[in-house]
Amino acid sequence: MKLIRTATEPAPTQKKDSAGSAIDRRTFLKRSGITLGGTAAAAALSPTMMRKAQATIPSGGDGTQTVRTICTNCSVGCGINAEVNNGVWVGQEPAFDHPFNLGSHCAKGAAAREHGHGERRLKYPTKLVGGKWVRVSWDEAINEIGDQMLQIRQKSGPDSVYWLGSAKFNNEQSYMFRKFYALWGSNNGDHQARICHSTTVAGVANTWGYGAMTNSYNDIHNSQAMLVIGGNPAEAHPVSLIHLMRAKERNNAPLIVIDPRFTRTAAHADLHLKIRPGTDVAIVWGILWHIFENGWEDKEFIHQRVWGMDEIKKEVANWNPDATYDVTGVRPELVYQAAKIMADNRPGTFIWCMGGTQHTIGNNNTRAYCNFQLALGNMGKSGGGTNIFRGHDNVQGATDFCILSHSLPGYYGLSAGSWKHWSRVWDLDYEWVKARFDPAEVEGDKGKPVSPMNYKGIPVSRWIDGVLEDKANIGQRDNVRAMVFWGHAPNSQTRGLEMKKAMEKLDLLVVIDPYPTVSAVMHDRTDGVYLLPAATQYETYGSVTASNRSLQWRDKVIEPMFESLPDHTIMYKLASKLEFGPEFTKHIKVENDEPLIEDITREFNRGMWTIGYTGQSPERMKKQQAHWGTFDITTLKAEGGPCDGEYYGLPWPCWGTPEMGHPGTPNLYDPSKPVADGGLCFRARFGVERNGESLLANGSYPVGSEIKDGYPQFDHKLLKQLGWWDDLTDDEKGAAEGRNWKTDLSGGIQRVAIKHGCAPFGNAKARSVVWTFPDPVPVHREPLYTNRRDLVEKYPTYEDKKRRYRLPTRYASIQKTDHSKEYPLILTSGRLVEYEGGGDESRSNPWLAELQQDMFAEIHPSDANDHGIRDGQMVWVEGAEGAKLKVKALVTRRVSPGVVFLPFCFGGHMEGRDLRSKYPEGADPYVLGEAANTALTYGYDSVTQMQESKCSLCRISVA
Amino acid sequence: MARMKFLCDAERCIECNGCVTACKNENDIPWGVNRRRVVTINDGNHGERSISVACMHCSDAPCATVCPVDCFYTTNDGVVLHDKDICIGCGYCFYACPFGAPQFPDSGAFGSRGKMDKCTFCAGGPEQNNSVEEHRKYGANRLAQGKLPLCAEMCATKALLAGDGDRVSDIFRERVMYRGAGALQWGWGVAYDKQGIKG
Amino acid sequence: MKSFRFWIFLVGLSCLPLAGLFFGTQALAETTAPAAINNPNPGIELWQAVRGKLDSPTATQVRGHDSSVLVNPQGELWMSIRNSRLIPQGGQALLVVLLIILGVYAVRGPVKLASGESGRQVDRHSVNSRIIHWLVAGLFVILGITGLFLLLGRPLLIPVIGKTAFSVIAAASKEVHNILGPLFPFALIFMFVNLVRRNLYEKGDLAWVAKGGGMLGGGHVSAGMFNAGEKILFWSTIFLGIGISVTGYVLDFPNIASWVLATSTEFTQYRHVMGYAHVIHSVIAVLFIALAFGHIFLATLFVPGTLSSMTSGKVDSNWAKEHHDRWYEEIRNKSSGDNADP
Repeated sequence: MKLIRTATEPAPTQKKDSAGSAIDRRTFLKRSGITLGGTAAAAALSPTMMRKAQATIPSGGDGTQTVRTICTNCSVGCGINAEVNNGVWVGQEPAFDHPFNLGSHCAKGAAAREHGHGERRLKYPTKLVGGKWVRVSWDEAINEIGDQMLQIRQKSGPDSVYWLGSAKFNNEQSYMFRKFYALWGSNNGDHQARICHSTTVAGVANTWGYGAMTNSYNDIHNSQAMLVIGGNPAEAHPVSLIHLMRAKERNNAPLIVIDPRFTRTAAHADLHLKIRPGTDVAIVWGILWHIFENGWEDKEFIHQRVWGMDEIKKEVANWNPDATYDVTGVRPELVYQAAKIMADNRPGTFIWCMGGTQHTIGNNNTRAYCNFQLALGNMGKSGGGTNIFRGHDNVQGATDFCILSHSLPGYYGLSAGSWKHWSRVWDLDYEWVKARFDPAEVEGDKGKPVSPMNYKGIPVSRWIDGVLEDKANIGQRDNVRAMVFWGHAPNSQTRGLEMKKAMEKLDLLVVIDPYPTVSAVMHDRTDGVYLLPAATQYETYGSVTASNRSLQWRDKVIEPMFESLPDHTIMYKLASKLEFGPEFTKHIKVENDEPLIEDITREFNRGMWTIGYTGQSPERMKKQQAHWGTFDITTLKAEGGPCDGEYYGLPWPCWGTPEMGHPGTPNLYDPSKPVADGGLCFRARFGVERNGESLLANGSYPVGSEIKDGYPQFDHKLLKQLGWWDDLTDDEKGAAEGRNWKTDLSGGIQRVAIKHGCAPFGNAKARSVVWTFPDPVPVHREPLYTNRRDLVEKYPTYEDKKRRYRLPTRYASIQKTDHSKEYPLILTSGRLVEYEGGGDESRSNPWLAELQQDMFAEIHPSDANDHGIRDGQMVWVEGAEGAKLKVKALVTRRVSPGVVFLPFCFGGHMEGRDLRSKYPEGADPYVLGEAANTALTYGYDSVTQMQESKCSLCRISVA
Repeated sequence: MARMKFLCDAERCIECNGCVTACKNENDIPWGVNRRRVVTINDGNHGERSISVACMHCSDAPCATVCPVDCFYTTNDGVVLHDKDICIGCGYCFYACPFGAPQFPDSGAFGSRGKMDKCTFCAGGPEQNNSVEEHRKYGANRLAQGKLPLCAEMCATKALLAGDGDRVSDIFRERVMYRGAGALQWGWGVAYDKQGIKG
Repeated sequence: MKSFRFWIFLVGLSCLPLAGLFFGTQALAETTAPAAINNPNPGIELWQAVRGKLDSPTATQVRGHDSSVLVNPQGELWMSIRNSRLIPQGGQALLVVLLIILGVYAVRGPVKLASGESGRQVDRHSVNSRIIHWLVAGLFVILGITGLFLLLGRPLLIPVIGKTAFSVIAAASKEVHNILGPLFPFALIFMFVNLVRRNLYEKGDLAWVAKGGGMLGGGHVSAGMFNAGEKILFWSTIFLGIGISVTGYVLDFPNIASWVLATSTEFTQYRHVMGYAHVIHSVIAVLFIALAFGHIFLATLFVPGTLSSMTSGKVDSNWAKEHHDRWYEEIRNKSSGDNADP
């Protein structure tokens, strides 16, 4: 497909004067006013102004249609007005009226149209035969893959096929993918969230109920202070900066950045704390030390809504300024300043990203952050909250649908009750579903026998161990023998050399992706690799969940290019081949092998009660999509118009059925609003008492609650006790009998609870101490590969674990070896604004690729001089497990002395070898480079198996 | 009479390069030609600031005065454009321009640069407005459609302003006012011993 | 001329620190935090860098010549040299030289041979010499004319023939100039090898210069194969030729630095390098052309009988005797040595 732009109606004008005279002056001035209004975003953005903008966009006049879609890069969820003419994506206009981005885009969003013209795509199903790529038909590919999988299933059980999904799926595809491997009979499925924010989800959800961004990008307008730790939104979420800038300019809100690098975000900060990588807990406790020391904590808030803060206080007491300085390297006065700023300017928001999560103690980090906000009383407030910026466009949605190895959609877990709930939603016999799984029990994480159906599968971070580890040591019948990369780049996972080995050991490797990805080339296989072209999200439609829990409807811009097919179509084809097609789409209309998206939405609406994905029907989402401009850009609430009273994107939890009309919850746990209008309290998730103390909230409750105190979660018994049972209709009673708010498929329990002003999930305290985790109180532990050997004794890592997520997991046995002599430098990684994730997609986009043509390593001038390295020279960066990368040196003070930074968005080189020739013809990205993760090392979070990719060790030398 | 201007607010620019790709997108610019670029000062050091630059559409443009064939002209909106049919690709405008705006498709031996290409303020060229020919040679003509340059319209943080000079300066002035006392602190207390941070 | 938009831009941007200073001091007055007053304006480095006055590291993701340079202040200098010096004064200089020549011709008239033509021809330049001469001369004329089109065409030709027609001429001129230009130094090398031996200093050259080649004090001055004036022409040609060739190569091959010097990072052909090269190239060109005017004038109109030395290669023996007496003696002795005087 070639880039064709047809002319819009030419206005006949004379040469030379054309540009001037052709402008309709009035329209023109309006436009300039509007852009400037937009530019003033932070100034006087009134939604009315935005509406005018929409009204003045000329329609092109020659059959050009404007399609409203959502950017497929990051989780900000920017709206795009795509202009399509005759099936060709001819133009891209800013969506000034979109409540999140107000027309703005970063480099990636502004280059979205290239998708409609890109040639570096996987064009047709291809398989590797004798080292050569051979084109095959879809049927051939599906049949061959299916036959091999069925064979493996027969011989080794369903757990030997690994289903690696993607945060690039839309919600419907995510849901179908989770259902897909559930019906295949395995929990061996996962997606990017594991290596992205899994520690956040675990840490945050275990503190107060839900593991998601509590407020929204827009709500940052109300912040009086902003603290960003382990995040570089200026590169990772550039459009979010428009909201931070507004708080900075309008509220004079100070911006504090805590990061080992002087990032582009730090360049705009008022205070930058340059910590040693991997010392997040230490710095947070160090700041909190001043807050407790000076009595700046919010005592009333803690009394009413927090359990266990005293134990936190005890741990924090160890982190006096000296101890903090010793561990983090940040000068005490700066730590004090940070504490003072956060204490003086409330509410303050707390933002974090991968710099905080990707650690062996990632869950400790995230809980430390939560405790920080709890101590300051910043939770459940507009302008406060933990604003966790998620990564991919739909990683929030894909996480919510639990394309994970340890849960079912809606975080229901893997217990028999959860399976029964979903079997009811799917209208399948639970026993049939159960029979899909390997029947033989295995030894679980806790040493007790467990059925594979109820046993957490192998996480994506460890799939290579699932292949390479001795069969006797793993918690399933056989090793992983077939691997399906369905929209997932391998270069985003650590231990590249072992991954290469694992790929070569597999019986079958299937890549389903719009791009061949590094999976196609990084191994030296000659057979048994299939590449199936998937359509991008611009080539299908459905809903997508932004980081702030808002669900947006995304329209199809163009038809799938080349021979690519939408993911859900491929799922259906494969499910049919694998003999569960009818069950897979039992209540979903299928046309030409494509399941109907709206039917899928309605199906998950029927089951996702836990997190309120039940009220967002396709109709409601489409209505909002048509009226972007009616939502306020700070509160996200529609004022007037067809969506009056609703919050944009019906941010979950959007309780009850669509008919109930819940407006969504803009800020979690905010008791200043009635539950019916998006208010909430902390979730009663951890029981009602602990060590004789009540865990329920103490005198705090959402406005309008009829119960003026804490209460447990709602079930049929509680309703009856309260005398509210008869508020249910007869039908609802039938469905609710014996159920609770999570399993009542009628939504009656939720409806009645909310009718009485109560949150269906109860009203409890947040727990500062997560007694179910390895470190109930978050503590600092040195990374496995650390060059501060003097701290290892005081802050040791965990003992090795015999089995976690089916695999032996090592900690102390690695840390005890001192690598700091051979590998003296700290290695950390991060992203670039031009690229996303593994970068296969963005490096195939020439508009973006031109801006980042070389993989590089940031090296401090002093280290560069020590090693005789000059800026721009090629160097070897050797990771502590021996993998070597040949990259360009970028000598800069952005990093501290002793720290080397690598961007992780490159791939296609392996230890100095250019793999371009191994790509299928015409499908190689424009830019290739060493994958940073090749050199990154072993290390996994103690709760979620998040990989450690933010601090390891390395050495450098001139190449 | 409106005079078109760009202004980049360095306090807001985060070097996301959205303006660069927006320009490529709207004008179908080939690899190697960048009508707009983001320059970062003090890259990686304290005081790092970025500014997006392209043709600034000078009212007495140096490029126009040095052009040996006089191919430049200024539109009624104050946009400096050039006629590629007249341009001989000599490169003089590139020497003269303070901003490095003029771009050449190649820079090979024997001075073979091809016709000069530069930011048109999304106002096309001398061809008929929004004709295929105009688009091929100069890219989009958004002004004729009543729109402003896409780079500014899509700027991630609204750092890059474009439009009628009076309005641009109004917006900017308003921002500076809002920053108020903060302007002194702005970006300078970046952790390095300097006073002035709130708190 | 000075009202560039970019000045407005700079001034506009400068509002920021000024406003900051204004509000900042206001705030300080209120809060009386004296410490801040000693701090320099945070924007200072930025704005200095914007003006190109600060040697701070700048970077950009865009790859191209000088892309990381935010503002190039040399461009303005180059522009003013070209527009207010090279074009008017270069043009004027050439005009003045022409006028002087005409004046001299009018006053002094052609220098006729005192003894008239003898009718006897002597060999002066070999075939090789003549080919080389005309190679240099041909290239010179083409390059000169095409160069002058580029320099002076806009003020002189566009008013007459219009932009479109001139664009065709200019484009052709540029191509021809760029393609033939690189040959010029090779032609010069041939010429140098061919004639250098005859252009070394000889006794009597000083006297020739002192008498202005006979213009002063009357009567012919003694000279060899080449008189001192011709030697000056030769060496001027060589030196101006070197200058114009080096700058020409810099201009014509924008990447030559990286080819010649393998490590290109140290020396890149930045815009100001190109600008300087262009100015030097143009100044030399004007001088060169002026010199050529003189040479052509002397060899054709002013001293009749000279031109034939470069066409047939022969000159009249009386011409040789009067203008190059010592050379005439030399060739006479030489020929009488092995052959009797005819």
